[in-house]
Amino acid sequence: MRAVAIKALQCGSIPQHIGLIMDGNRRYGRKVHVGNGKGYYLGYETLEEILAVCMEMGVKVVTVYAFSIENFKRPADQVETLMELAKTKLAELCEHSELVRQYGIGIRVLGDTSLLPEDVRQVIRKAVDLTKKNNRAILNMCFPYTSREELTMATRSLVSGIEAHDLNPRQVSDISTSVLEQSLYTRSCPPMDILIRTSGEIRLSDFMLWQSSRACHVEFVDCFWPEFTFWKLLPILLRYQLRAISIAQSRREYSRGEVAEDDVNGDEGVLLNTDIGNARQTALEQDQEMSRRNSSESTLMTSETDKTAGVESPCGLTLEKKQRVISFLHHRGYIPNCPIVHLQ
Amino acid sequence: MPSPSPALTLRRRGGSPSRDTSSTDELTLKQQQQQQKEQLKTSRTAADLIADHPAIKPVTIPASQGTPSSSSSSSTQEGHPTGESSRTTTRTPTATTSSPSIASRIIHILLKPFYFLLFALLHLGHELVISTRTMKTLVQVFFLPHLFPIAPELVRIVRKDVGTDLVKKPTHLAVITQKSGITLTGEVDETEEDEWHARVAQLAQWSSAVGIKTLSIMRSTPLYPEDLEALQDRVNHTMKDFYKEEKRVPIALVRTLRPVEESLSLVFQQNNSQATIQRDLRLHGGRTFDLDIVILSPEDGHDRLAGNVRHLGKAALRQQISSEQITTSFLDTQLSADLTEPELLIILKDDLDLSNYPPWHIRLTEIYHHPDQAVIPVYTMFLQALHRYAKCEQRFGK
Repeated sequence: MRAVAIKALQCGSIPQHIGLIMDGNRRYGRKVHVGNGKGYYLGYETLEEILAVCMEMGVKVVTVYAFSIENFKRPADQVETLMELAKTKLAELCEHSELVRQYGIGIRVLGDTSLLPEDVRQVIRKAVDLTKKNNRAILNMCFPYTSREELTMATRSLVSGIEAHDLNPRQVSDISTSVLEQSLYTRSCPPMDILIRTSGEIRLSDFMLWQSSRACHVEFVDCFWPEFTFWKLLPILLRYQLRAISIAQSRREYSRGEVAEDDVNGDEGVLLNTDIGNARQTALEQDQEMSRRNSSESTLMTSETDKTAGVESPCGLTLEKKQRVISFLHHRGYIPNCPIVHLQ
Repeated sequence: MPSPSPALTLRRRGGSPSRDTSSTDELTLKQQQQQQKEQLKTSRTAADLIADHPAIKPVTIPASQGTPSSSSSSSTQEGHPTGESSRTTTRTPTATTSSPSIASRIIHILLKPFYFLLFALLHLGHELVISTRTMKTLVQVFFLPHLFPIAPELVRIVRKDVGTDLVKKPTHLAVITQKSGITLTGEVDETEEDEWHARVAQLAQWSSAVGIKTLSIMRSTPLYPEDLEALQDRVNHTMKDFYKEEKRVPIALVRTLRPVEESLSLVFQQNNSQATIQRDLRLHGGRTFDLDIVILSPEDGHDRLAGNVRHLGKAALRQQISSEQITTSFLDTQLSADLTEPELLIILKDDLDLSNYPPWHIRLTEIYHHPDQAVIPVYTMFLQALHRYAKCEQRFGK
């Protein structure tokens, strides 16, 4: 029944990037009298189910809010439970999961992992490392994540890049919105299409503030996360499909507006204009840089694309300037646990 | 620009000289194999098709699950993703067994019109549900005037409607409006612009009655500076009208956000004891006010953050700051200098769309929206949003 419904939905447009705030595990655990800890495990099972559904439909990226930096304020035993859950489930996902293998899911962990204990960090590194070559789909686990921290990290890395490479003010003026977007944790991901929050709360709680603020369908659902099934997701997808055309149109308008902004900001156009072009250009350049240094993080690059990158840039860039840009982009390029990947 | 076709990237990867890990050598071999198979697929004989039939050859992945990528039936696309899945931790014994069989593909193509019918039925059913909900809202709205006026004209009416039992009230209310009279291309529609001005004045009246200190309104295009004065006059006029039974008319001042460059100096000047007073004085050039109205446009969202980065970068080049100083609280002080965080956000659009409202500020904002807002009077939305906000419990991570 579910497969039939999915095939039917595929006649319309399928979102590329879905965000989920998995709220209400503890309250659900209390509601069915199994306790808070078991509530988290039930929540994980629901996540697996929804992930399977999304992959079957053809969703490219699923981003889930597993743990917020604010959640460290919770009682120590709850935090401990969550860390244990994360360790076991991440290990399971990267090694034994049929889902990951079948759909080629790359696991990414977004957020400031330096706040986590060392054993969790090791598990995360291993999980990301094992799946980094998978590029058919991405599962972003936000652990621990705060959208403000993400924006701060992006700003800091851009400014430190400017300092390190001593760009002149005119080149600084070329830093556009898309460059900032490429410095966030979600930079190899398409723009977010749907953001769902369960448990009836109507706020974003510091999740993906940048990504959901324009051309994104936000839904607040009134059930707890473990109660969220495919049949509750179905009307949300139908509503998204009704809105898909206007979302695509507003994205086009925004990118047109950005082209105008870049024209105003810098005539040299050191960094490319359109979102898509920028994504590919920066990803390509970063990969190129990394492959030159024999890093194991890049998935595709050859000298050919170097030439095509040159062809794609709108204005004639001198080689020296391009090198400066490439090294600048590379300086701020490395985020641990989020390798750059080209989604198919 | 179009992304390179899968086949092209395969070929590139196959020919890359800089691979030096052993696993990738195997991968390129596998890809070359895959490529050859793809080239051969176009010239398959009947014998090949029979050999491929699931009844004869062993199948490792069940045919019904097939590939997740859509309903396209081109052979290159189907061959390619399965080639990719073989690159992950386990390897399937042969590349051909993992592609869906011819039979299941044919069945899928035949069933397509039925799937489309189901798709249409699903959407139809969904539309029916939406329509019934809108009907129900319409009926409720019809009976409203007996309870609340559609647009109250005096302060005491608003105060009575809001009641005294609101546990908490927002100090900053944000509203996202549908559109303004100015389109993206710059054409001005006078009546719509006028309606928008009227809406702002109404919201100003109601907010001042409830005791809200800041009202920020998001519109779809920037406000022309000359219109700002017209708006201020309009607001002054309506406030006087609204408060005609009261002794004192509150002062509401309208502004837009100041340029990014000024915010950095404020971070250095801030000392907490006088921060709010100084801020109030600074915002409106020294005049006192009761209600601060901020008019925002889409360029105050993402673009303002990017402009902030540019500004910080230039400051770093001038050695005024260093990148280590940039922490969340630093950015918070800088970005909140001009605009505080709204506690409640009302979206007056048909879809729940944040419309590029400054993302930094809506971290913990309660977002109030009703999909039938076109038929619900704005006053009702306003009251309901306030009541919903008063009931909510914010746990802040705990």
